[in-house]
Amino acid sequence: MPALGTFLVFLAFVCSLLGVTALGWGLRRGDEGLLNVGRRSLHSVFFLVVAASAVLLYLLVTRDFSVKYVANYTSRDLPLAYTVAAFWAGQAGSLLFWELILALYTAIVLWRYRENDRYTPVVALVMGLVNLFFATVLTFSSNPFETLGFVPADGAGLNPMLQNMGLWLHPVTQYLGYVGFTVPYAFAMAALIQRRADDEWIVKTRTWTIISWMFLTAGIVWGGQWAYVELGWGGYWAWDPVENASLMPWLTATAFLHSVMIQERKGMLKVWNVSLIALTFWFSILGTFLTRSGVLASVHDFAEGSIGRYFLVALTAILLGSTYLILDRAPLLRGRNAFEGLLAKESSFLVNNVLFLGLAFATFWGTMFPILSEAVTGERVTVGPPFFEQVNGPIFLGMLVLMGICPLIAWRRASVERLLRNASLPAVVGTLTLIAAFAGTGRVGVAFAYGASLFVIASIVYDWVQEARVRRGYHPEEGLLRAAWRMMRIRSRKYGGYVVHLGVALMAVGIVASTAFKQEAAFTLAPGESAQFAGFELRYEGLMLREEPTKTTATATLTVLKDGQVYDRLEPEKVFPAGREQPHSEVAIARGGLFDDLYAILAGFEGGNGGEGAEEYATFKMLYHPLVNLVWLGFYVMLLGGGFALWGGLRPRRRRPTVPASVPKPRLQAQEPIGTETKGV
Amino acid sequence: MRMPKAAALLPVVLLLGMTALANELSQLKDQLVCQCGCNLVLSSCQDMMECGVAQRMTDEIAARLADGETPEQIKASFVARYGKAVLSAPPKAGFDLTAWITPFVALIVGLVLLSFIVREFARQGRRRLEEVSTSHLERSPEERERLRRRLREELKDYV
Repeated sequence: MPALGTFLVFLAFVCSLLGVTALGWGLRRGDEGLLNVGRRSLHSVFFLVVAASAVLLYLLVTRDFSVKYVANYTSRDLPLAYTVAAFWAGQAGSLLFWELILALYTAIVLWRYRENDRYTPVVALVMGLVNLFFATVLTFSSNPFETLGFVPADGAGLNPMLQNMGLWLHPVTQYLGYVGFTVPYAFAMAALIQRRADDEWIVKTRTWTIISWMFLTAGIVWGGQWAYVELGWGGYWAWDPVENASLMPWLTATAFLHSVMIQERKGMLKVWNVSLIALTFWFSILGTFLTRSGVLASVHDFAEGSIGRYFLVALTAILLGSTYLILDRAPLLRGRNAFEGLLAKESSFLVNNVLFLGLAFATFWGTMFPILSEAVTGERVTVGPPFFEQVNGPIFLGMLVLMGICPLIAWRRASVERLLRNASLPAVVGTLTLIAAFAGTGRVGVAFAYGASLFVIASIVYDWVQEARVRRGYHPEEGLLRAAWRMMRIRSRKYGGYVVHLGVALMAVGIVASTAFKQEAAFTLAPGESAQFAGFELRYEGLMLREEPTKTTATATLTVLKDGQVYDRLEPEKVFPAGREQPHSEVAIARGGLFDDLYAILAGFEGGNGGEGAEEYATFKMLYHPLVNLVWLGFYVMLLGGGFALWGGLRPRRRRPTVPASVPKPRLQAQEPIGTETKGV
Repeated sequence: MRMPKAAALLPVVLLLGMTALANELSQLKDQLVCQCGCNLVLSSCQDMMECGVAQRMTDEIAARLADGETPEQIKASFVARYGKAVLSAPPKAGFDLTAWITPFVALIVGLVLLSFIVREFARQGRRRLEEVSTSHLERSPEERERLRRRLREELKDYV
């Protein structure tokens, strides 16, 4: 069976090579037969990779420990759900998973755009090249079907920290996001290769981009949530290189989602948008590289290997190839770069783009600085949370303020007076919040973050209400709420974006509060003893040791009381897996308030098992995270907004009312926004 | 018998001193990186990895703080022992200062460039507006009213 897997992966490599060659040659010669060979080869890659994946799943589920990957990441006692998820738990399997998603996306693109004769083959060629890269790595460097030459009695098992629902959520969504950006990148490069300067690639990939962005958002946040509930340090973001690697494409993709609106409306920023999507794709590959190569020390290095040089070649090729194409086609992409005023939504979007790029650069710079510092000074430094909090924090704050201003600025041309009038109410809300927060906390940074977040929420609500009122002017029969809902449906993309912004504001409040006002304490208690923490009484009831063949688990029971009443019960655990040196903690979390968490870690214990007069002292590390659940709530609001924007893009558009030929055409073109009538070149 | 003021204040001073030490220890645990190879700050590694190295380093810091050493002295001695990589952020001096400055310089350069670009776009926009025919302004009041009504009717479908 492993030989079959290896053979299938090799065949996928051959078919990718054949597909790329046939497509390249066919395009050069204009030979339809060769183009068909290329398309069919890439379809074959999909079926071959699906078959190879099925083989790997079979090997995992049947625990064929003669296969190195299976022996390294599973064991006989591993539950089935984690045995299946071990598919992407290690390097070789995760690369096969990357290739599986990519091959699926490639097949969908080929099927969806099968009738396009000149454009699609170039898209297929670019996607085929990416397929070829991953098939090459799988074939020559990281084969998940490699055998050991002997059959061990049992496997090493899956790292206990990976045994969490997060293993199903985080890597899968993260990869769906990373790989998804291959599609808009391929379309953009195809447009450049074909010397096409119209907006077709943007229109065709809008849905792909939003879906990929949503997946990446989910991947990042679910990764944080996983760390929060599993790793036992009480945080959800450590500015680890791998976390940063996932943030960078998210930032550039978000910048792209904003700036692409200017191209759609005014036919501008074509070079900029192509560059942003190329950068996003490059960062996606870099993210996979940083996760899997071990070039930067990271807590996420569950697997390391020799794939670094392959990725370095690919990253260089993508960077050079994309840069060459963009520079060479730049004259073609020159749009009618004209704004009707300095102060307009267009300008604010550009400032937004600079801030997003600034954040991406700061994150990239901080992540890579240890390598640079070592190269220049010969000594490695660490760039950790204090750096990113001090550098990225102010830029994030600027972004929040801009998010509040943007909805209040009109497209085309806005006046300062009008902006001030629109901003006055939200600014009052923001300023009052700032003052109240400063009075309550005495912390300037926190006060500004709260003020900016409330300013964002207030400006969105204000703009929404204003538009609903305008609608009521045309449809007086509708109430304000109905008018607001109708506006939301009509302009689903805009309001989907607003909902995303609301989610970001909620997240910002949650992040700031849970970081700045975190309470922390450690207690050593004997059974029956109590301690006071964060307004709660914690009564230690006792410790239970549970011995199993594969692990020993110590479970402590804490009764949480508030105002003398039992509020909750916490059972933090310490697990000692057999054959592993380090134990790990299973934290226990109780809801400490509407959005707050009471977080318990069993730090240590001593004493016998199970009462009989034996004292079982236990040491608890307790954390109190105010408003931390706003982080997760904000994320789901963001997803909701993304979904709403997507739904608006997918549902059929209402047709414009047809103007009878007899009616004279209104001569209003002179008042049309400049550039909107001239999309493309 | 009246207790001397100083004696009465002693528990408060001790408590404040202990709190200050605990705060300093907590801050140092976030400013120093565990040397077990995890690349995490001490506070994170201790909880996440159940790391003995982090525990030893923390115990040493606590003992030295209790002996009266300042956080700066402790950091300096850890740097002397392990190198700069033991600090969770680069020092704001020498070449490492570029780590802190470069992102803000890049951002400022970007914003300055953007201001030039937006001004140029606006200048081109004004030039184009001047080129555009203004014949629609010369319409009769009836014609303009008719167009206004039509615009309102059409807007109904979009608002």
